Amino acid sequence: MQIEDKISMHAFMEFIEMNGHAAFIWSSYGIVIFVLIWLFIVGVQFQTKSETKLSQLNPRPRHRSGVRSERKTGKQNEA
Amino acid sequence: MLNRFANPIRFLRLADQIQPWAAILTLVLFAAGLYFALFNSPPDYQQGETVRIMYIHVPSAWMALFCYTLLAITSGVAMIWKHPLANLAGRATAPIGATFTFLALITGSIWGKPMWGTWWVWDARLTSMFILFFLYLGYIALQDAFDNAEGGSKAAAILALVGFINVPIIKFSVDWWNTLHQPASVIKFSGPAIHSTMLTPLLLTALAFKGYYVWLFLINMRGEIAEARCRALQVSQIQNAQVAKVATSDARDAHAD
Amino acid sequence: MKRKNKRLTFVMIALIFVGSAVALVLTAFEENIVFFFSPTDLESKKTPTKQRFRLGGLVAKASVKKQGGGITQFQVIDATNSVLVRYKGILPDLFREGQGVVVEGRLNGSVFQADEVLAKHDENYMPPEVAEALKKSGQWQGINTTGSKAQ
Repeated sequence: MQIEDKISMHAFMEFIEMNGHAAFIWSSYGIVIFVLIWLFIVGVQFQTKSETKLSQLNPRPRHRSGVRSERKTGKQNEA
Repeated sequence: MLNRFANPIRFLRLADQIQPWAAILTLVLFAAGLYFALFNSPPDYQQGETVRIMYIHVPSAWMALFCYTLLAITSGVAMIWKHPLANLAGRATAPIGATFTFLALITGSIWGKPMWGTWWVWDARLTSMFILFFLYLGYIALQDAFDNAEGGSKAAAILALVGFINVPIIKFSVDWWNTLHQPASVIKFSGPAIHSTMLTPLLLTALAFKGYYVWLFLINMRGEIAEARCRALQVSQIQNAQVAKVATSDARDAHAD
Repeated sequence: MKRKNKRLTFVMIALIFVGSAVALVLTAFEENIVFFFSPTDLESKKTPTKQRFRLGGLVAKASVKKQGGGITQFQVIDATNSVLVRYKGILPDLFREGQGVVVEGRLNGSVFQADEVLAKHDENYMPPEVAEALKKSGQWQGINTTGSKAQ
């Protein structure tokens, strides 16, 4: 291993270890990022679910969900 | 002014324009914030590396108060002006605020263990923040606690307005009472007590969280608007069905005659 | 019936949330608003010295003495008074001379016997080099001004 590699490896390990407080720092960042992504997914799922429900109830095309509702009702008519 | 946005279609059109910008800003600011928070900022002279928890803890706590303030405003608008979108805006905000409150409590606890020597104490700041979390949960639960959507919204709005008293209590708890939690560092009369190299990551993540709020709020709003339309349609369909039933039975009666 | 049940559960959940919020507010106002007492409060007999209570202030400079068996002894001071504290156990990272501290325990004669030590930090954040430079140039004011807030 080259000396520079050793130094950079050492710096990297130092960064990961965070001076002995690694567990506290990385877990708090991990929790925040995980929870924020989870909440975002919940929001997107809620939007899709309620817009699909609306397009099934309401055959008239309206704004965004209108495009989808036209397609959906078309399928229903074929069936 | 208010009436301009009363129309959900107009609101959705505006949302279409804002949403991509909110998404880009959030991602860019959060990436920059993380870079400064973890790689390009010094350790603290007392706390060492642990100070890095501040860069997500403090913005989360700010968002918790920010979202609750919005919740109180939308509740007030919904009750006084009966603005059709105000209650939906409250519903779209509450889960985001509750989540940030939760994150502020959790990251604060993780920060408290190595620094203070305890995960949790019941001092005025921590207790009032804990109450804020319960106010959010109460608001969310009350929304769907009644058979008619209007009753639930009204009860939740009252809770949000009454609970707003907690917001100044949280802010000033560290000045009014003896607490383990330290006083405010950024928003204070004598200017920030944080060195500029540490203020940079703090403000970047704070702005990223604001962007995240706008982005997710718009997504939640689309869901809430669709949901509200579904409720309205179901009501009218039931009424139509009843009318149709009456009409057919009338026709049958007429035929029998 | 189904609907009624659903409504009932929701109202119950809401009541539990609101109820616990109110209960927490009340307990907070009862005892926790005053999270700790200062040495001056102790001197002026404002403290219930028979029971357990918390004492807060600054750890006096050059007062920390490590004794055998993990026992630490130090002075907790505010602007005017000081109390001798004895504690057995592991100290938190931020426990330092000149820094804020909150100790919990009982008063045993004139010595405060602590069974819990919490470090209280101030609102100043800066890199070590900046702190060093401030100290050198004599512009240091962080700890002492905020420390007197313990009163």
